[in-house]
Amino acid sequence: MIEYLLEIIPYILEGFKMTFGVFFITLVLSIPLGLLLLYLSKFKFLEMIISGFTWIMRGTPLILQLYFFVFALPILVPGFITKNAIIGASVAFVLNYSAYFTEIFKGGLLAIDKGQWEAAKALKLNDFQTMYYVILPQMFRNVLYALSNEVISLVKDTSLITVVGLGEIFRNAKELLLRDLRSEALLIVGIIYLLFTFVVILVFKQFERKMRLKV
Amino acid sequence: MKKILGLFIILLFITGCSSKAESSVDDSLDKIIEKKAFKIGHTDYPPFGMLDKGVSIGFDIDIAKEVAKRLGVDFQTKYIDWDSKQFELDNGNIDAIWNGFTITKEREKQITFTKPYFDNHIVMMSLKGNTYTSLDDLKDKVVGVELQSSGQIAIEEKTEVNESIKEMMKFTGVSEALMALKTGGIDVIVVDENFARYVSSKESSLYEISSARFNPENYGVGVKKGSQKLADKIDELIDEMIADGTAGEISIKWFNEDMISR
Repeated sequence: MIEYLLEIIPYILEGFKMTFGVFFITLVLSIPLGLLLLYLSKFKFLEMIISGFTWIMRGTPLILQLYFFVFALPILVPGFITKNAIIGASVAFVLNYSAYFTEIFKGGLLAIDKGQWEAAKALKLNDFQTMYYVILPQMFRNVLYALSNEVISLVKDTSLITVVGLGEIFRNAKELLLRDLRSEALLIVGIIYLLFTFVVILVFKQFERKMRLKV
Repeated sequence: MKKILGLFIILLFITGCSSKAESSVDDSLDKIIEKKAFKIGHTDYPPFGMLDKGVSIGFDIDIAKEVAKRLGVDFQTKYIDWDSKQFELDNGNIDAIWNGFTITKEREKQITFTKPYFDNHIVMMSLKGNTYTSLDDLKDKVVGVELQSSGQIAIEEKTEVNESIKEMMKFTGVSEALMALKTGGIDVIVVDENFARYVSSKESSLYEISSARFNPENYGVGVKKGSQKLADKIDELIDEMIADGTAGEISIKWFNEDMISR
């Protein structure tokens, strides 16, 4: 048993590069993109487009979006860059998550009392200062819990990229399951996801402490 | 932490034991007769097994249906996730895996097979205009396979070929591999000849199949490990169907020729 585990764990972990890669790219791109979309939606003519975008991205399954960006788009738009499955899958993830993030940020923004803006104005802060020192810190504090939920979901959603042929930890575990017809690999991969989400939770705990949230 | 470790050990124990638990008496055939039903598991593997508006159809389905008829029991099908076939069989959700199921040494450790009834080879399938004549042509190509399929194994066991290819992309289903071939995400699929012929018969203007065929293999019916009596009975009935021409007729219906080979 132990021998078998030692044989399969390195192979499963080989897929972690891909799992973490998609996770990391999505995280670092979709949060700024979510903020940008929130900013742009203050313009009336863009607001419609952006709410249409979030409706589509939140209203259809991520797995379907993966098929679309990897398999359908390169045919619909010949010469499209996403012939590469990794890029296609990352685009799907970034767009999907930015749609969720922008809605979460919007919620955090609306929860801020109007008095905060008025107070900033009274202190003669300019627009940038108001945003940077007064509004954004409060917004991030408001959304911290929703954000940690999303990031944990993201960890697990990375397993969906198996459908477009990319080898991440879940795919590798499934391969071992099929090769050896033994199920230990699934247990191992479950533990890896648990450890991964555990680290995410720890990081968010640090943020909480920094923002001095009373729970 | 201790609790978690304990749970982990228990889980390992369960997964380790489950495969060993087997009854000593082989009542596999009696059970089928007793419950008056024979249930096979299949997935999308045309023309052997597939769904048509929710109804199972295909070459294997027709053969299995006839076997159930001759057993004097109801015929039932279950559309399964191919990756979970072992669980479905071991849990007793299905009595047999009957779906162009390749007999391999590895699988024989966990599954009891009938005698072979159908031949298969591995071929290379590409888009029209890209001709692959030998395995050497795979050099520097992005090769698509279905996860842990005979195609993947055929490449991996040939170390030189495996090292010469640019990349191997493993898909959870052969339909995803086909989509990737169409988009150009992969150059070629290494796949079962029977499947490739079926696909290109549907869209003959689109695909090209290599003349080179390799890794001959056989399909068999898989039953739960140790269910020898059931396997023997299925073999007996298939032989009977071959002798009286029923099996040949079914083959002609699906392949336009008698392809059954014992």
